[in-house]
Parts: sequence; C-alpha cells; structure tokens
Amino acid sequence: MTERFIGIDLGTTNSCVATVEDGVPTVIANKGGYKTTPSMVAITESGRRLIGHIAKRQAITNAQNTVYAAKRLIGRKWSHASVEPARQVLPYKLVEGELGDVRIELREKAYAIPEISAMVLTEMKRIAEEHCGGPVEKAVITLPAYFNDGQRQATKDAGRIAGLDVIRVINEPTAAALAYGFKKNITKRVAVYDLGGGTFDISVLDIHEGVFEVLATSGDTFLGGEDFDQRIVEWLVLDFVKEHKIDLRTDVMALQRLRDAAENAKMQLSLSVSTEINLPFIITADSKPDALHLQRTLTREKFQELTADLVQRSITICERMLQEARLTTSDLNEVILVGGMTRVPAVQAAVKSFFGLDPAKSVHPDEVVALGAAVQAAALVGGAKGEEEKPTMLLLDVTPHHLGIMIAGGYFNVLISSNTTVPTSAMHTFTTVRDDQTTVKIVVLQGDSRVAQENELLGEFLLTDLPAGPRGTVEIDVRFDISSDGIVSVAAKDKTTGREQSIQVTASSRMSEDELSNIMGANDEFAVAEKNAEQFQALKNEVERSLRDIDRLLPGVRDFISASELGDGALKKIDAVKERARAAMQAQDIEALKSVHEPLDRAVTMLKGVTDRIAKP
Amino acid sequence: MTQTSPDPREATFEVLPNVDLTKLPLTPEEGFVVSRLVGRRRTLGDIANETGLTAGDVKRHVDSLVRKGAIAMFGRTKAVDAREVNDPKKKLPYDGMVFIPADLADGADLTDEQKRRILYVDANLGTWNHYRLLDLKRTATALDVKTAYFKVSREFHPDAFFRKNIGRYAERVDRIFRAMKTAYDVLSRHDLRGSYDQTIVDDFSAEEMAELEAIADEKKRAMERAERLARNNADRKAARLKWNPMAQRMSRGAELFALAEAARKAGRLDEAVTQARLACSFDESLGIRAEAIYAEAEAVRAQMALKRIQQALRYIDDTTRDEIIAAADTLAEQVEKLRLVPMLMEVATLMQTLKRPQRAFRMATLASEIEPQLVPAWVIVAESAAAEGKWALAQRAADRWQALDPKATRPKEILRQAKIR
Repeated sequence: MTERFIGIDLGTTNSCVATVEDGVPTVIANKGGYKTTPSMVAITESGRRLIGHIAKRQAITNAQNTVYAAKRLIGRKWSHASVEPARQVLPYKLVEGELGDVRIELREKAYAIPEISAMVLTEMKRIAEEHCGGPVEKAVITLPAYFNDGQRQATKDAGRIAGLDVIRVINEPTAAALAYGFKKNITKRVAVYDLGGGTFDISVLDIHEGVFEVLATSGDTFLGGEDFDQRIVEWLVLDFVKEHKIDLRTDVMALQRLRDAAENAKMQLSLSVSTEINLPFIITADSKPDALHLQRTLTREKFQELTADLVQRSITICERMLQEARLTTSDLNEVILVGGMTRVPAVQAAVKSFFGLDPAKSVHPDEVVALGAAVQAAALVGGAKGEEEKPTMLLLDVTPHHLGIMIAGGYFNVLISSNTTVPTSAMHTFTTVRDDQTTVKIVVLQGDSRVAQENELLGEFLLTDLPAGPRGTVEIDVRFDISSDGIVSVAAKDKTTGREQSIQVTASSRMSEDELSNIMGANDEFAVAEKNAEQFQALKNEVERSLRDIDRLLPGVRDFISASELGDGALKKIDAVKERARAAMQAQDIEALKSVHEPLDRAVTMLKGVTDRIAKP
Repeated sequence: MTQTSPDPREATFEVLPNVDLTKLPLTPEEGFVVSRLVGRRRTLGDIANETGLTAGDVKRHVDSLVRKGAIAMFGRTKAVDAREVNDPKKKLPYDGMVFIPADLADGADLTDEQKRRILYVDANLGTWNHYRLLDLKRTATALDVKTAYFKVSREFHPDAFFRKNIGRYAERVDRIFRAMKTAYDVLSRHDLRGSYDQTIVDDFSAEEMAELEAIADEKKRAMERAERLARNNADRKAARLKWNPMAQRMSRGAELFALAEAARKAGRLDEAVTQARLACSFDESLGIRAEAIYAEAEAVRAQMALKRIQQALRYIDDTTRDEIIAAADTLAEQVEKLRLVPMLMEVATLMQTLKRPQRAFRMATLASEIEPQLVPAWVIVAESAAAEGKWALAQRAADRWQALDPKATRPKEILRQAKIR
C-alpha cells in the first residue's frame, strides 16, 4: 500500500490540506466543498466540540467559547508582551498555565494552545482521510518563517496530539515557493510576500532546477488580516460611541458581529470601491426604549487610510531584509503573493511599487502553502517504497533568528546568525567570570537584540561541578544544533572534566512530556466519545422523527383503536415507548435510545395502516 | 560496480586518513608495520626492506591490517600515478581507494555506489580544499559555485536520506554536507573567497595551473587589443580633423592664439594684439579671449601716454600747453572707455593740475560710480565742482566725502561756501 502523506497549512484564520496524487499536488476539499476550513474551535453547552465551519457559524451566539486565531498565541509565554493586549480584545478567556504558558478556558476547562491547534489539525486529518478512504498519518505542517523555536515546538506538539506523524515543519513562504517551482525546471530568484490572517513573512529564494535555496527571510508575527479587521472594528466602535455614547466592545456578541462584519467589508472592498456595513439591533441601551442599529458605508479609500501604516510596516520589513541579505529589488525575477490579505488592492499596489514587478499570476494565495507542504512531504517520504518516482527536489532553508547564549553583562552572544542554512551547528568556547566558579548557567536565547533580555528565552540549564580555578581558566564548549525543522538542541561540555549536559529545548513548548502524553490519551478517549456522539445524534434524529409522526397520527385514530379489542393495550404500549424515548434522549443514553428505536418504528407503521383503513371505508 | 583488485605485489599500502590507530586491536608486530605506513605509501617489498621482516610475515601482517581497516591498498605505484595526472580521463574512480568490507555491509538503504561515494568523500574531507570538495575549478564563476553546491546538496543533504536506514553513514553524510556548506559559504562570498584563495596559493593541480596561465595570457592579449584600439582611434581622429576645412581653420586659429598668448606673457603686447586679430579671423569664437588681450594692450598704452604727459608737465610753457592739453584729452577719452579706476584717478588729478575742472569732474565721477567708497574720487568731484561753481553737485559730493571721512574739515568749508552761494 502506498504511504499516504499530507501537507497542512495551519493558518491563523483558515487552514488547508493537500496531498500529492499521481505526481500532482492537489488541495483536498472538505465535505461541504470548501477548500479551506476556518481555524476555529468551539465547545457547545452540551460539551460538544465544533471545529471549522460549524464553529464559525455559531461564533456569534457562543463567542466566549469559540476560539479563533489561536495561532497568534501558540508557543507564547504568559509573560510575553503580546499576551496582555490579546487578552483584552479576545472574547474567550485566557488564563496562565502551570508552566507559565497561555491556556484558554472554555466551559471551565483550561486548554493548552497546542490542544486547540490539534483540534483543527484533527479536522484537517479527517478531511484528508475521508478523501483518501483510509488512515493518514504522515504530515508536513507549515508555519510562519519568523516563528521561533518555542512556536515551532508547540506546532509539532499540536501535530502529535492530533495523532499525526509530523515529518517536518516548514516555513510558509518556502512552501509557497516549492509549490510555485515544483516540476517547472526553472532558474529564478523569487521573493515570496506572505501576508496572512495573523502573520507576515517575506522570503527570498533561489530556485535552480529543483533545488530551493532560501537566501533570506524575515517577518512579523503580529501583522496580518486580523489587524486590518481590528482597524475597521475600531473605526465603527468610535463612530458609534460618538453617536450613542455606547462602547460596543463591552458586549461580547456585538463585538463578534462587528468582527464578522469588518472581515466581510474588508473582503468586499477587494472587489468594489465601497461597501455597506449593516448591523441591525446591534445593542439595546438601558436609557433608550428601542434597540440601536449600526449602518455605515466604508469606502476603499477610507479603508486604505485606516490601514496604510500596516501596509507600510510590511514594506519596511522587506526593505530591511533585502539590505541584510545584500540584495536589491533589481536582483529579483519574480514576486509571489501568498495569503488572503494579498487580495487587498492597496497591498498589491505597495508590493508592486516596492519590487517593481508584477506579482506571479499562477499562484492561488490560499492554497499554495498547503500544496507546497504536500510537495515537501512527497519529496521526503513519497515513493519511499519505490512505487512512484520520488520528486527530485531539495529544500535548503534558513533559520530566521539569531541563536546564542547570554554572557556576562546581560549581553546576547550570537552563535548561529540568522539566515544560516539549516541543518547547521556551531561550537564556541566560553569561560568562567569569577574565581573558583563551579557552576555556570547556560541561558539559550533566540532573537535579534543585542541585549539578552529582549530576546526569546528557549531554555536554560546548569553545568555544575566545574573544577575550581582562577576566572577565565575553565573552558566550556557550547554546541548548538538546528535541525531541518528549525528546531534547536544545545549541548555544553566542560573541557577539563569532559562532563556533558544537553537540552532538547522542549521547555519552551510549554507542555511537559507527561502532560503531552496525558493529553494524547485524553484525545484518544475523546475521539471515541466523539464518534458515539455522532451516532447518538443520528439515532436521536430518527427517534424524534418517529415521535413527531406518532403525535401527528395518533389523535385521528385514538378513538378507533380504543374501540377495538386489544386496542387499549396497544395505546398504553405506545405511550410507554414514547415515555422511554423521551427519557433516553434526556439522559443522552445511546443504548436506551437503540432499544426504543425499533418499537417506535413499528408503532408508526401500525398507526399509518390504521389511518389508511379509516380513510378507505 | 565491480572493481578488480590490483596485484598485491605491485600495490602500495598506506594508513587511511581519519583512522584512529589507538582504537584498533593491533598486535605489536602490526603496530610496527603500521608505523612505517603513516603518511607514506610502500609496496610489500619496501616494507620488508625497511622492517627486516620476512616477505611472508609482511604479507600476513599487511593482510590483517587491511582487514582491520587500519591501512588501505592503493592500486598503482607512484610512476603510474604521475601518468594519470596527465591524463585525467583514465583516472581510477576513488583514486584506487580500497573499501573496508565492514563499512560496505552497513547502511541497508544505500546502494554500493552511494556507500563508496560517501566513504571516499568522507575520507578526503581533511585534505581536499573547498574547490576540490565541490568539484570546482579555481576559475569557477559565482554561478558555477552555486550550481556545484546544489548538485552536491542533492547527493549529500541529510534530506536525501530522510528516514532511511543508513546506519553509521548518517554521521558521515552529516559531516560531508556541513563541510560542503562551509565550502559554499566561503566560495560564494567574494571577499571570503579572496582571502581563502590566499591561503591555498600552492594548492593547484597541473590542470588548474595551465588554465590560470591561459587566463592570464588571455587577459594580457585583451589589454594589448584595447591599447591597439585606443591608438587606432586617436589616429583616426587626427585623420578626420585633417580633412575637415572648418576644423583646420579652427586649429590654425588655436595655433595663432597660442602665439598671441605667448607674446602677451612676454610683454610684447602689440605683437600679441596682431596675432590675436589674426587668430580671430580664423576662428571667431576666440573673440572674447582676444578682447582681454586688446584691453590689456590699451591699458598699457594709456599708462605710457600718461607717463609721457606727466613728464611733459615739468617743461610746460605757453607753447607746449595746448599740445599737452590735447594729448591729455585724447588720453582721457581712452581711459573713459577702459574704466580702470587707478587710471581714471591719475587722469583726474592730471586734469586738475591742468586746470580743466570739467574733465577732472567727469573722470572722478566715473571713478566714484565704479567704486563709491573711494574718498579721493569724491574729493576731486567736490573740489572740481566747486571750482566750476556747480554748487549743487559740489554740495552732494562734499556730503559723501564727509560721510566717508568724518574728520576732514574741507568738506564743511565747501558746504558753507555752497550755502553762501
């Protein structure tokens, strides 16, 4: 049997899954025919998990228990500067986890972010399995190029929780380039401008007959479509405050409606020059007798004015990256636009004028990343058993951040600089700062600042029992490795004693190994429970239909039946089954429901027969 | 692929690079034999001669050492090697390296050919330079470097063996790819490559040497070609000028003007004027520069006239008086045209001496117009106006004089006189 593998674009707002079939990368549509699935997860009142489109549909009525944009929080620590502002705008509740991580509380249960992402991944896996007609395990997942080690680890964890064998995580812009250059046999230097729902990435690659070499990459993990929506929401809210002195943000449901309307308006403005935002009965004020309505016209011009600085931010990042890579825009042959936000005319215009190139037309901004992930999966494991010729394609990606350790004075000592091709390793010798110092703490950091504190902490470990000696005489070798996934491991060795200590920097994934296996176990249980729930629902629907039929038919024939011999007994039986069915539905007892299913069906048949007989004397 | 073993009597033996002899289970005799083979290749006969062991013992120890992976057998003697260098096509694959069976048995998912390639490259990592590692010539362009790196990446990047059972080859592949990446990082950056090249200047193969010489020759020829071209261009330009009558006239004009300039420098101003006039008749565009020469000549002439008049003043009497005044008037007209302040002042003073206040007034007024701060000019204007009895003008000039020189008493006097009148 051919091994099945998929590529998943786990997006901030939408996710997409693809595979390679007969050498052709193909996006897999879900049952509803949609090629992308909202990255939304909700827990209903009855404790049911909703994922994707159904979660999105009920978001307005269940805002507190519907998670969107979880990707913006993945791998983040509670203390990270981005968490507090997010906490203020998000309708769902964030709490601090035991390991200082961020958790989401839904219906009084706290979920780790990778758990939430895992739910989305499970959904994508299910879509792929329905398409393939069998289990799918191997997956390449994409993530923003500018994700740090913690965010990468957390994404891999999410994959594991979802029961996937994550063979590789790759960068989204790189994936887009893979899909673009796949089997094209071209030699080109391309820039990939990826403005998605939550993150912005820019990469420059050399494509050379199937080898994809990333020259430089940069980005901003806090710049995306959500920010554009937020600007529209703010604009609406401010206007409303001016008019009615009511802040709509205080009402969760109103805020969710505003957010939806903002997103729709943004999309509309890519097609037309102005759009209506119409939200009747948005809120009821205590002081006013009638409900208030919101009705505004948003022009494309106004929208551009509201978001001009966001677009400029992305261009500034492009500029800086080219400078660092010692490139100019004239070195580039092609620009690829990725992410739904690149449909916005102002974004397209800004990119075009900065690069001086017309963006490539052949690329679908929502699907190309998943396709690229599938292509990479194919290149790694496809045709491993020799059934199909393996695509001869190789990706040489780079690490987006500097990697190093903290040294005396609180400075950041870079061991592997950004834009180094992975896999890579670096070794450096450090020494003690005090006389007779027997312990050193190795603090592993990732980031772009010279000051240690301003960088992301990946982990720390102690190297103890060093030989005593004057400062500067004890030597410690620190070795860094970055895998092809961009995931870091560090080893430190005291040169004189040869004692070695190493960390796979798992601490930053913010979930301990134990906890991870617990969640994975719970997920198995849940997977079973969820299947039962589906069965239960189906059964319940049928039972309900039978009950309705009985209620409809019974009044017309009750007298006729009770007049006949044995009639009273039959009526009593029917009433008893009805009673049992209602109780079973109440108790959500699937076995009891199964037991009433058949008697109910028989009763309906009988009642129909009697009705027919009365109608034809 | 199959490789025929060379005849052991012809073969040479050497300790493999990267072999840690201390970790191998060697007998003392084997250790002794191996010590002869570190960094040098010897035939069985050589070893017997050097160690004094019997041929049979040598054969036994060497066989054992090869089995244990301490030494390798190389196919040809040195004389043959030299011939191979001259004829690269006939080069043996893997330089005749003999592979250790234990190594070839490892790594289930690799073909024999892949294994040999990996072992061969890994064994040579320490000795090959960056160019050799990427299979590049020293003359490779930036694009050559990139293409070569991409080619070897396909072969040695860890992803090429993703989730395959390659046993201990994994670390070798890792080592090879890192080395190749380092080589690429250095050779793909102009500055780094330049300084790296300095460190391996001796490390050229005969082939590379020949190529470098060819390039140097080509460069030299190109430079000669460029020089020749430049010379031809100059010649052609001269020829073109020769046949262009207008250009001819212009160059004639330039020549004459050069003579004029020379004469001017030598102080022969009359000659300079003549030459400049001639030059202008050939090339009118020289006119402006010629004017300067004319003006200078005029100035000198005026200067001389002035001197003559000043000398004549000493012998002035009734008979010569009119003559001198006529000469002075002519000079005044000339000087008015030249508008040179010192000359104007001299002539104004001269006119005062000659009791011609009207002329003196005109000269001094002109000088004061050119240089309004010049006190003597105002003095003469005021005095000569007063002398002529033009009191309004005298008053104005005296005001100016007083303003520029507050200590003077004479202006006050003139002003008072003007008031009285």
